[in-house]
Amino acid sequence: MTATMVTPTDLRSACEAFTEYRGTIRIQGAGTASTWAGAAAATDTVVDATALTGIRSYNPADMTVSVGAGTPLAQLQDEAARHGQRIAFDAARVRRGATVGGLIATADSGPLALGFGSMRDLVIGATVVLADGTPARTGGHVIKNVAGYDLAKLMHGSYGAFGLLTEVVLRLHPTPEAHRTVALDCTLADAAGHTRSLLAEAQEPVSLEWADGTLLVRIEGTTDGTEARARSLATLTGGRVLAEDEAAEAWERHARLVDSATVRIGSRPSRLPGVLERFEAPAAAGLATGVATLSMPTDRIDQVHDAVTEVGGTSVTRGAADPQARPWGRQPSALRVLQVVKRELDPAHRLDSGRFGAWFDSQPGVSEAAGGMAPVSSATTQAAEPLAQEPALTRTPTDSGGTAPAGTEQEDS
Amino acid sequence: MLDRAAHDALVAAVGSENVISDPVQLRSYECDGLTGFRQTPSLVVLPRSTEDVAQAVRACHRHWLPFVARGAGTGLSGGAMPVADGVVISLQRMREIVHIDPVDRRAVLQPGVTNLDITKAAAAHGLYYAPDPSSQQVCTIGGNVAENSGGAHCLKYGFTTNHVLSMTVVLPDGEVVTLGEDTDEQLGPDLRGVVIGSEGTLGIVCDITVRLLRVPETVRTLLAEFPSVTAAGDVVSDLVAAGIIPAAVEMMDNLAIQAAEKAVGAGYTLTTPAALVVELDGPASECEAQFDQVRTICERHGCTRLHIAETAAERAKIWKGRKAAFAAVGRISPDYIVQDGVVPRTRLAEVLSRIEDMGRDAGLRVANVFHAGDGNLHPLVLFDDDAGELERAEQLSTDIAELCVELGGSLSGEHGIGTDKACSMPRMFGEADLSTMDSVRAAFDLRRLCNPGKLLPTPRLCGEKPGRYRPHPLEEAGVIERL
Ligand SMILES: Cc1cc2nc3c(=O)[nH]c(=O)nc-3n(C[C@H](O)[C@H](O)[C@H](O)COP(=O)(O)OP(=O)(O)OC[C@H]3O[C@@H](n4cnc5c(N)ncnc54)[C@H](O)[C@@H]3O)c2cc1C
Repeated sequence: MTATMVTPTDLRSACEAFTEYRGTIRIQGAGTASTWAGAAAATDTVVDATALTGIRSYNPADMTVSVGAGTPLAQLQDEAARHGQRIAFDAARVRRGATVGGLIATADSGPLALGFGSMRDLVIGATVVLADGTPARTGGHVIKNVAGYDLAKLMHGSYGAFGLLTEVVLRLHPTPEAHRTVALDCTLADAAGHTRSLLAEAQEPVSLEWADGTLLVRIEGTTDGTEARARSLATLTGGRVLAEDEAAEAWERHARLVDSATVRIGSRPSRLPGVLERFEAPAAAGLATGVATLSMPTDRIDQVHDAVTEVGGTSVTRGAADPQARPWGRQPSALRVLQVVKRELDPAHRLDSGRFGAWFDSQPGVSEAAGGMAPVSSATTQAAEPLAQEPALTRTPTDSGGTAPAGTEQEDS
Repeated sequence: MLDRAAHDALVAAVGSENVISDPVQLRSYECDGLTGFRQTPSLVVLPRSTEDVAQAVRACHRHWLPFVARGAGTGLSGGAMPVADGVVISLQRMREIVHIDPVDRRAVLQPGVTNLDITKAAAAHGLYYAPDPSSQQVCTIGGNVAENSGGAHCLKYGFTTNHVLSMTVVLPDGEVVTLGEDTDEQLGPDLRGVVIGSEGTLGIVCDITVRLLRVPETVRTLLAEFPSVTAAGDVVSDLVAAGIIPAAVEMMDNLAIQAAEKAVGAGYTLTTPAALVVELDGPASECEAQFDQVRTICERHGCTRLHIAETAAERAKIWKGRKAAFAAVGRISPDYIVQDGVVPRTRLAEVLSRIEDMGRDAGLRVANVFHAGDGNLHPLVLFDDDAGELERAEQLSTDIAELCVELGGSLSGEHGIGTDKACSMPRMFGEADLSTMDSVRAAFDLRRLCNPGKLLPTPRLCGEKPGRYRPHPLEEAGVIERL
């Protein structure tokens, strides 16, 4: 059986993709991370997000932009650059055409994460279509906003299991006047030592990566300021300030290393070198962020998972891994909450969650509540998880002072 | 009143020495910083550990008792206001700085630690905790997480959500989980980010691990006065256009300046129509060059006085004027309401002139203090309760928040929705948006016991039909769509 391919072009057709087609659904972007985190399952329908493109609103003076989630980030960067701005985000696969929505759904990030965080820190609003075709908005169009739950965070790293991002609002940063990269060929252990002394200085690097034998430190700012800071960092480390084309080449090499990785890990920064040293694999390591990608042969990925888990870190497979490899090192502590959120937002489990291995296989009993439209008040039968074991609620006022189930419907009774 | 069994269960959970049931003492928990809303709780428990919190929450869950977490009670949206016949779980006895890790630059804190104490403890290592709400001397990190608090410096450094790595959370059924990891890499969807800013409705946050930043090499602060609010606003736009992200840009209008001067005498000119506080920080070589640019831009827009802080004391004085502004308004008016709304920065001038008109129509004065860099307004509606102006003032304040939404902004930039603005939520979000949020709430708290009645509108709170959804202006312009 081949899946039906649906390619919505706007919010309406995106909603229709969910209401008009039956069965299970997989969401797909540009396909630049299609083999990350395990294997997607075969579904009845595939929703292709790549036609949800284009800038919806962009007022450079507000430094926010709203785009279709299927827009390749590189394309958005080109537009922002014309206004002296950028999305301060540089994951390696942006070069290969990754979409804004896909970058969020996979929680990707690049070397600039040290200075600016990941997509979760740059997204200020989103529209999501849920499994039953309901369009839901979260956040807004202003950078500072605390109204309502921040559901864009829930989409960050959701690998399509919670809904389809159709539109995303991002914050922009000014393109710096200048940037400089200081490079130093050294071992991982030396790089870790330099990282410590670099961070003790107030030079504020925006990226600090050890890429297979070379420590790369990037700083940004004014022309004169970066020049002076780069020189002082070079003196401090014994490295040298790269010429512009050399710097571009060094970062391109870093990106290629990331692209060819089989596993991505995260740990407390000081523990990262210890983990990496146990494996003689090509690696790109953010020594200040604690995030690294490495190219381990598939048959040794389990060892990486175990080593990282041992130090309390995270690990997940990346593109070059065999899809049969164990995708995640361990489960999150609050997996049960994720399972119940999944049940609330996608009660019929239409959206593929194969990228999470077996995390969502033990779904709590299917709720009667339609597509997350209403709080669950139905009697869920034989649920596996405690949260799902609630009986149908008897909604009685509390002022009796009795022990009868009470205090619910009126919320603030 | 609590029934005996429930009362006993809570006493057993935390120990009788950590329970308050005396009616007079209970009264001091009846409201937070939004004093207009009051409700005396049935019982207050003061756990000393995460395990105590879990036991207390389990007791509430078992006995179907609604409960409300409480930090310092400085919240300005009624988020920590107790629920009738409910329990308050105060985190005031969990104030330990568990660990400062200068190598990985992070701190582990119990929820009752005050915001400023984190920075004080980190200072020995040349580090600090960036989000700095004006209430930082008293507000707790737990409250900051619940409200996703910002501060004057969040334009450059972001909000609480950008600085919390992980946290231990007691879920509303008493299960203890960890949300977040040792780095920004998460295992699947970012539930940590959902709970941050959820206003205490998804569980009680206990140990919190925050990122610490290195103290910047240089800080440069100036106070600039302008012939009009518009001129000051133009300066902010030009700063942005020049690619400068100041650590802070704060604006005050004349009424706010008068109040602040009366209170603390920070040296602002009493008659000036508008003042800006601009602060830059970072490596010295960057800061100096940009600071010169800031001065040039101020002068270009007719700056009438430019005062550069030359010493730490002078800098502190400038900030004292700004930070005193809220409370100082009490000097020029018997009563006032603090509002908190956000507009796209390019609409600052427009929103200010409309607020002026609305104030005139209502016969009330409005003082304005705001985080100009990110369009976050704090209009202070001045009124006299004794003269029967309360209702009019509340209406004006609500209208201002809703005006912000109409202009493409938000109901709240940092104080939260709480009890105060739950009924305004339908102005900003459609039914499907709100019901999706409610589904997420149900996933965490099926029994609806955790800070019920806050954040999302309820028929009881807002009447059967909470205000109609108004299309977002971008929607009307055909820029964004909704079915
Ligand atoms: C003068 C003044 C100035 C202020 N300036 C700012 C500012 O610049 N920026 C800003 O963002 N805010 C500001 N505020 C608002 C307020 O200080 C913040 O919202 C602060 O984070 C509240 O902290 P708190 O400890 O007082 O929390 P509380 O008021 O006690 O509680 C606030 C909310 O958090 C919940 N809560 C508290 N602790 C926990 C916990 N451990 N787990 C789960 N939920 C919890 C409560 O249930 C409630 O919903 C200001 C307030 C005042 C009075």
